[in-house]
Amino acid sequence: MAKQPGKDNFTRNLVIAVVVGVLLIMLVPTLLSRQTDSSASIPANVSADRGYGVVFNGELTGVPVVDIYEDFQCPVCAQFTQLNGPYIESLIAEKKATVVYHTLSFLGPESVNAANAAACSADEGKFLEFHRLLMMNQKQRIQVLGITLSLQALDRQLESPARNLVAASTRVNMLVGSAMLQQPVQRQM
Amino acid sequence: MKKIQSWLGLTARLILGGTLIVAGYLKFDELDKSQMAVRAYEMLPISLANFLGIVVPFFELAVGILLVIGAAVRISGALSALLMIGFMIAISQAWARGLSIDCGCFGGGGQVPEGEANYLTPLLRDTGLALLGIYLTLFPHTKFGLDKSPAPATQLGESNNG
Repeated sequence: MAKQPGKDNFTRNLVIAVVVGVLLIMLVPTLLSRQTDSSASIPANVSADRGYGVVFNGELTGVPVVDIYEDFQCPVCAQFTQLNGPYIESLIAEKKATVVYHTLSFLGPESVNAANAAACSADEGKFLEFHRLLMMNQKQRIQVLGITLSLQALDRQLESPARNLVAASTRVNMLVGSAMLQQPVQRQM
Repeated sequence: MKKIQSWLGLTARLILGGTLIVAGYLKFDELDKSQMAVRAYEMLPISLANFLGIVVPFFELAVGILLVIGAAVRISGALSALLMIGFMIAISQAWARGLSIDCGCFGGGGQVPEGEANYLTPLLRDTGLALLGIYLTLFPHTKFGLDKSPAPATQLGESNNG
């Protein structure tokens, strides 16, 4: 076959360069904008006075203070919640004690994600529901947003500026409020 | 024979490229979900999975567009075949490990209720697409493409550099 007119390498290379170039130009800012911002914002009901725990009934005086140190992946913590969780929640509801949940992360990166998600849910006023959900179902494979027992997307958004925090909180709201999580399976955001 | 082959190549290009563009576009719309879908395979470290969740849709779009307009067919064909093989590995390992996830091939993804996961369809689809990609790698000279038609003596090596 002879060389065909109009099919020069220049046109072809130009087309390839344009397609690849345009997509790269779109990709790079997308990637950069999704870099994790290391300056994490703190949930509203958390303070240094209480050791950065999530505080319930912090305004009460003259009542016992219960400090709970736990990791969302720790089996004994789950046992503790199964045995005493309802009692502790009743103490909170009846305003009989100040309860401080310290969500630690000594069991790996998933614990960090879970703790961050819990912080998100605290901002949304859903900490207890979220906490109960994770602790009661610890032995099952719960995937939330694609991570077993962790919430990377929420984690990332929690660490981003405040506008993302709003979106993250909305999502936690949907997560905790959704019937899918009761199953407990997270199917979609 | 050559003539049939070039029409076959065009068909392969349009099917493979079209599928990639649709898949890429649907994911491109919801990158959060795309990242979630990759994480759900539980195959890669979370940071790498998130990275891929963003890159793969763009990659699919680029390769798909190149295939449809018929530029750099051999390279795009090979890349899409590799991508499909990667998908097949990911889906197979999810199936073998008993994960209950949606493949997230065309957006969506993440965990689904037990028994609702469907692995056979995406596997068969990806196998077919991978074969198309391999075909295009072997016979990249197709109808209505931007790539130069080969001079007879340099058919495989030189015509598609670039």
